[in-house]
Amino acid sequence: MRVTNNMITEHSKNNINGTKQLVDKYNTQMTDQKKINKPSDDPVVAIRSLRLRNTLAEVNQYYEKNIPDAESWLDVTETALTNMSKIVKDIYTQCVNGSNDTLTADDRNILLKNVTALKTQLYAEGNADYTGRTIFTGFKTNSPLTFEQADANANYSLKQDLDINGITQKKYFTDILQLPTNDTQVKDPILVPINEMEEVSHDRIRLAYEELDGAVAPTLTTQYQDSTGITITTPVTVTPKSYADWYAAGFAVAPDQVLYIPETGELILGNDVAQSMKTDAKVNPSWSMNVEYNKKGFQKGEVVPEMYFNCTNITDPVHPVEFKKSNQDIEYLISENQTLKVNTQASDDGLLSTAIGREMDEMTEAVTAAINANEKVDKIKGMMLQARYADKEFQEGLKLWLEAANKEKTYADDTLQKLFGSGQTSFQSYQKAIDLETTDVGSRDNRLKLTKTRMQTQQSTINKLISDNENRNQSDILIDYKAAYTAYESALTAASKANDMTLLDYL
Amino acid sequence: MIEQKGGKANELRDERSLLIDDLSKLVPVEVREEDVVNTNFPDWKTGMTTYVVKINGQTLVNSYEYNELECIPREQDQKVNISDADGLYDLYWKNTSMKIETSADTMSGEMKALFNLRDGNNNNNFSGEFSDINDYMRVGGGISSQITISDPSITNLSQVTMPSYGTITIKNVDFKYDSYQMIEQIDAVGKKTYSYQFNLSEKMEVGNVSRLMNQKASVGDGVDFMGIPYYQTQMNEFIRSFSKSYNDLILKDGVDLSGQQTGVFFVTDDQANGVEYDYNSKQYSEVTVAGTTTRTYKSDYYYFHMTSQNVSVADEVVRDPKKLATSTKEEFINGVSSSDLLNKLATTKDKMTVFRGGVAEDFLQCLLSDVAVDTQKVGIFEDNYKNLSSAITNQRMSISGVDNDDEALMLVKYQNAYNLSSKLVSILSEMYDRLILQTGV
Repeated sequence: MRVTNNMITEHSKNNINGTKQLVDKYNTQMTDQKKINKPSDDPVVAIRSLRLRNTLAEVNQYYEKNIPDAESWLDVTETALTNMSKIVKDIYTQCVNGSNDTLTADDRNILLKNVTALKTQLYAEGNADYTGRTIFTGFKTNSPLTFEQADANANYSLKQDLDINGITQKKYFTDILQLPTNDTQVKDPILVPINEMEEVSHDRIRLAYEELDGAVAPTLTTQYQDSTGITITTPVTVTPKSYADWYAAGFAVAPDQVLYIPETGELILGNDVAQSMKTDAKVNPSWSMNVEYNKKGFQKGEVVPEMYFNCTNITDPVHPVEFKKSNQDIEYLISENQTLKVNTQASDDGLLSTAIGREMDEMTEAVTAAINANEKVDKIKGMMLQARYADKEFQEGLKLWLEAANKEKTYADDTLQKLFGSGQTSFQSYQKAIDLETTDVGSRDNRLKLTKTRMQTQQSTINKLISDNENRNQSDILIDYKAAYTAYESALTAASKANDMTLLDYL
Repeated sequence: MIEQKGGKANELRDERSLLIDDLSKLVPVEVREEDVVNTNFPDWKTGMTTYVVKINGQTLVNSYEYNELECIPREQDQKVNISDADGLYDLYWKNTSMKIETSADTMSGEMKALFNLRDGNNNNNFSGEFSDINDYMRVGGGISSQITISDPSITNLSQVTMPSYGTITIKNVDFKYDSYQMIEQIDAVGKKTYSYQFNLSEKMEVGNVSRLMNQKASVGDGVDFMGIPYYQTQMNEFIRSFSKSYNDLILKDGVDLSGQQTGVFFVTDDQANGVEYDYNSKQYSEVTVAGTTTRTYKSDYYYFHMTSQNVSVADEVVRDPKKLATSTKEEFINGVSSSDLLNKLATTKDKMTVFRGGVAEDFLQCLLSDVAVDTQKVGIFEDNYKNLSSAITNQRMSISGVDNDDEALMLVKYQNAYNLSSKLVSILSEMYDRLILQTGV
């Protein structure tokens, strides 16, 4: 073929350009150390890279965000539970102290203070939060477990489910002694008259709250499944009665009657009613009962009903809000298709049950009663030593007063001791509930740690895969670059020599 | 004319060839040069020639005459795809106002490539069979025709590409339409059939009806190339199905932080008026007769308007994040952390089929593989043809090129000849000298 000058020029141009392109390619590679610069360079690498990055983003979300978040949440829960456990242990210690029969006046005062303080503390732990989200309240992370301020307007209708263990026995004491106010009463107590304090024992159902709405009669329903599987529901008539009236009536209950005492939040069962319930429960293990009642006005520290019970908020009667108690598990996605429950819920039959508070209230009451009764005895003893009551008739009268006061003191001390004695058992069971939750949190924490390790490995594996897929070794690039550059240089040299000489130079 | 004297107008011919050369890069060119003969004496050459240049089979230049081409921007009602930019150009012959079919199979060259890039829809344009015609009362008054297109190429709601008013072509005859509706019929066994009705702006002539009945109708041309409209349609399809599955979930029973039912999350902006399209008034209608359910999607159906260009997040939510739906109505009562709706929404990412039989997170991979493989393919083709073209150029240069050595050799040759001739003259001169002057008589 005939070769012409411009063919040589054209070829040289093409060669220089070709080698220059390579130099440019490796130059770019040297800068970013990536195999490809745009997807069309190698679609397979590009798409694989996209997939891997997608996976990495997910793993990062799990490993760097969800898992640490879940960890802190569990940590906060664990701390709160440990605190609760400590508090319950303290209460248990107080119970041991209280059941001691040799209590001085100071002991009782300290006991009173301690029990009150511990109760507040215990429920304050229930309001523990993680970055502003309360941790024991299920999905309602924006509201605390207990009322933080007294709310006189809050009005709820709640439904409490109970089993046969909800029926307990309590002793009531009639005729609390009123100290004499004038000399005539001192002299002649028979005229007052001093009614002897009597002990009355009743089966009762202790509801979750005290100071209930007395205007609305509660409904009590029992139900069980008979042998054929049919659910038998029986409503029980309940008669509301104020505490003052009942006290005046000497705590009397007809055998077939159920009294509703709103002030103390109790349903008092007549003997026959209690007996038939117990028999039913013994025959049918599925026996249960539920009570629906209203409460208007809440004290600071009282638990919020929707955290514990099926209830309806009727504060605004036009727009009632119905709440259903359910398992509200906050689940964190900690790896692909693996979730972890992070929250722990307070409930009436588990953690922080309302029974703890009610029991502590009763303890406070018992201690107060004991303190009062002891004070009365001390006061009368003091009066006996006073000069103005030195007369024989005063002394005889006072002796009668003292006798009555002593009887009250014995009752009060005995109640205190027994209550604190039984408190030891129940607080041990409350402690058990807390320990159970602590173990649960601990095991979840363990599971989380395992997943965390797995995610860590996965993260580094994916990072390596990404690097293998799209990165080039610097030394490889350098060698390629050097080769390309040498080719470029020789192309330049060749081009500079091309068409250098022609025949003309020889003429 | 110059050549009538018998010479050759080399310079002018070269220049002409160069121009044709350049033109042939853009469009297919056909050139014919013929001798002009005297009709009385067909064998006697006049020396004149006629020269005809045709592009894509049509005459551009014929000796002294020529036809001009012009670019005319598309009117608003000539848009082919809903996402097309305003005023795209089409090429027309100036004298006949005929459009040049730039994407026709017979076309080739750089111009076709550019038009394909602009119009390439991978043959996914709307087409179907013109099967029925009815009278129809126009909104503005007057009676026009409503034509039914059966057996349509587009049956997926998210893939509908035509603008809400525009031009439909039946066998090369253009008809303007004001609006259309898509009709979906589901019979008792669940089999779906689709058809479209286009409401034309004018009444179709009777002659046209009989001539065009059962012919193929289409909006725009099918261009077998993945160009800009193809990717726009793909993005629209994705954004429509994704938005729809997301919106449907929250519209079912999603509530915001205050427990109020929320509106749509992904909205369509009405860019002309600067507001969002109203969701509730732009829904399909449904009628069930004898077990057959008929759904009518009018051309103002909400998701027909949604494109990747005008989709956005509801203004209400952007201004006040509390309006974001995170929970369902039943679960909301349980507290702010109930997340059942969020869990459902999360499934739109990797569980719900929204795009080309894949899940949402595959969308980018799909498009990327399309574009990457296509670009690579084009790159390889370009390399191949470049090689071919350079081989041919090489051959051409081998013949037409000038070579220094050749020329120098020629110089030597002619110099030699000249020298020799001169020598001859000098010898002859010597001979005459000897003969005439020195031969003393």
